[in-house]
Amino acid sequence: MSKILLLAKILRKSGAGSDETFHEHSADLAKNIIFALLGIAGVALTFWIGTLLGGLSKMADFLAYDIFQVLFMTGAFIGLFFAIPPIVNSFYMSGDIPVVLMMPLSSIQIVVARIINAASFPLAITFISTIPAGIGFMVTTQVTPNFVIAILLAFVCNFLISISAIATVIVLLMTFVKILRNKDLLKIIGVIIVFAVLVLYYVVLGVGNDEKPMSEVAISVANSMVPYSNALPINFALRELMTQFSWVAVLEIVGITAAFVILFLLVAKVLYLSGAIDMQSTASVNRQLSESDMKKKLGKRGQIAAMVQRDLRMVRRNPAYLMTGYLYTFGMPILMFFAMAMSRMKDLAEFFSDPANISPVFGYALVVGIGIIIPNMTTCMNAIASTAISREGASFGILKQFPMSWEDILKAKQRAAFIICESASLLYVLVAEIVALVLGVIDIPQMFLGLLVQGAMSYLCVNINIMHDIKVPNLTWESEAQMVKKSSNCVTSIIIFVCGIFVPLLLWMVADVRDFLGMMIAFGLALLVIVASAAFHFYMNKVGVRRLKKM
Amino acid sequence: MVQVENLKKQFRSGKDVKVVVNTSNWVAKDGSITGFIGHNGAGKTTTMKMITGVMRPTEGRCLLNGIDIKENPIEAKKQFGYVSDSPDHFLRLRGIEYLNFIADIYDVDTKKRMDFINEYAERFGMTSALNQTILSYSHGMRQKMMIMGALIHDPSIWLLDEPLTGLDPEAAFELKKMMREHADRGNSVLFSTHVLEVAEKLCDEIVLIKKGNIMFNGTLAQLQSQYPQDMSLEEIFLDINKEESNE
Repeated sequence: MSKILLLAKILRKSGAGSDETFHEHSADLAKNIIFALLGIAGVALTFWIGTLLGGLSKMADFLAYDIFQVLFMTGAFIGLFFAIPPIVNSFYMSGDIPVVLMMPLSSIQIVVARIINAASFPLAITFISTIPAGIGFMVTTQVTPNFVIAILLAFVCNFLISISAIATVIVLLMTFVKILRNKDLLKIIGVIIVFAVLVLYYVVLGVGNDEKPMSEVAISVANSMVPYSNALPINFALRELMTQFSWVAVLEIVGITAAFVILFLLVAKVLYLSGAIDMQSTASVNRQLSESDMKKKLGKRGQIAAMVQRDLRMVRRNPAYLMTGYLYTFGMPILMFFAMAMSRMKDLAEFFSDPANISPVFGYALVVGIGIIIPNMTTCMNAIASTAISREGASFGILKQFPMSWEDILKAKQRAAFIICESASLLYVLVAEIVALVLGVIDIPQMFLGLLVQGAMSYLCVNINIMHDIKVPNLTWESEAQMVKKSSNCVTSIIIFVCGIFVPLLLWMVADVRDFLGMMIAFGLALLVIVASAAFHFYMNKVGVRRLKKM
Repeated sequence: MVQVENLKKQFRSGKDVKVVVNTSNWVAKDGSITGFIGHNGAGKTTTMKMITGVMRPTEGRCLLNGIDIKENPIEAKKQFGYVSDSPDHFLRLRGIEYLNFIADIYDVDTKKRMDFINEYAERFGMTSALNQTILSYSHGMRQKMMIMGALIHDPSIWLLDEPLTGLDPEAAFELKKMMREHADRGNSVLFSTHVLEVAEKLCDEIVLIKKGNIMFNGTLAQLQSQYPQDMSLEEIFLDINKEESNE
């Protein structure tokens, strides 16, 4: 046991199997304060939800244990959701695995030490999502003491069960499904699953609920989830315990939990070491390039084109950049469209069936929302521009040795970011504008004006993000995921995002006033955006290049 | 030829000034392999970085084939190929993509790059690994790829920072042979190393650096003439460092 705790402590100090192995004390302190504040806010929020549920249970004849059954399931699900990445990483992907594998430790000692670290965050999330809600519920309703025991048992046991279950599944999958051992592929699968879950969530939330107030939607969703929550192994016993104290129910709960934990330890004992050792194999199947393949791959390009292609390739092949670059920019608008469409299905149907009767404000909200706000947001918060220089990391020194001017290097960086951000934002703006054009919400001059402004705005956003990265680069990262997470560009992105919404929004709104003044204001704003974009371009090419030379 | 003239690099931290390199004039001649030798932290990599234009010197200048790296950086950078002390760069590119990218940067024509890749991939035993990402390579394979990238534009000056680290015996032998061939063609090779036996066998000239100062620049025979007969380079190096610790 002492070895497990010692290993757990060392692993925690060295990054707990995450990609981050180095923390500055000040950064840790700031992070801890932010997490503590977020934790307090989370506790307050779920406590308030608990009191709300207590009130609702009286009004809607919704039994306490039904609500808590759903709450336990949600807690278990959240814990499980947050536990998957750290467990996979800590068990199989962490850089310290070869060192730990060399130590005279058993599989069980290794996995328990690792799970203590990997489960700490999911534990906190599960705690926040269940316990304060339980207390809030108890404050507003009259419950017996066994209810308190049930809630505490539910929290501890549901967490242990979900963690043991997911860890068992992970060990089994990583042992037998060899394709999952590719870390990059696994991350992409993870992102797709998160995306699918979010879309599913919006579909569940939206279908049949678009006319109801949110409180009723919440009860309806919770009601529909009660049968699913019965799938949790200990819920029948918990239900019994909530109404009347029974040692049999307590033993049943503890017994089921122990069974899950033991099953995990057995699976880990038998399979973990062999899977982890197999993962250390670096051999790959080498396919020799034929003469014709070589010719195809060895085309000659100019310096800037070569730099752009290298940048785009590296972004595409790195899950951290792929997510925050390509998937976020191209996928997020679709996801947000789903969210909006599902929650306002009836309005949308009306809008498309008879656009003449719908209010112009809603028409603008639709076009501006889909066509302007979302693409702008994805452009501003895209990591391709905001990590343009930092992405090079230690290889920045190699760039310095290239016989290339800094002007050309900067041009290449701009083009790579511009290709992704501009193509995504213009694509969505164009789609929204064509819909708006067909529906008669805008006319052709407005459409071209919108495209022009959006193009200039995206260019400005890309350049501001690159300039920010030039001013505050992070070239000493240890992993790309760490660099993207710790990128300090978020604040700038949000400021640009706000500007990105209001300038085009104003432009669109004003341009609808089809008189001379409206036209003049619209063109004035368009000109402002274009001039600002051009001015920043010249500023960056002067000041940015000067800073790059000094780096 | 690499000419280093009164090179000085100092770092400032508040009122403290730390001089890490402060060298007199020295040269890595054409037709010679010059070994750049010094203990850890002596200033070898900092000097290499100043020669390659990665770091700006506080004073002095570096000339590559007579071109000042500060005055005419692009032309000067075309003169050399540099292998850094770490081969972990551009890991997400495939080997072939990396070489093609470097060839584009140095404007190497298609036929030349193809011939180079065929020849050097064969020499380093990398032919079957060209289509893999550099990320999947071992340390030694990455080092080989970086060496190939540094040489693809056929530079007249080779600047190699610990190039033999991680190479298998065949590749190390091949690289040493290539260095010899390159120098014999009238070009210059400047390489830093800790392996003094290699330096002793391979180098025509030695540049010895200690605490940022050049202690010696000349042939091995000239260095040995200053010490008792039959003293190896390793013994001389240890003796110099011993003198330093006694001071």
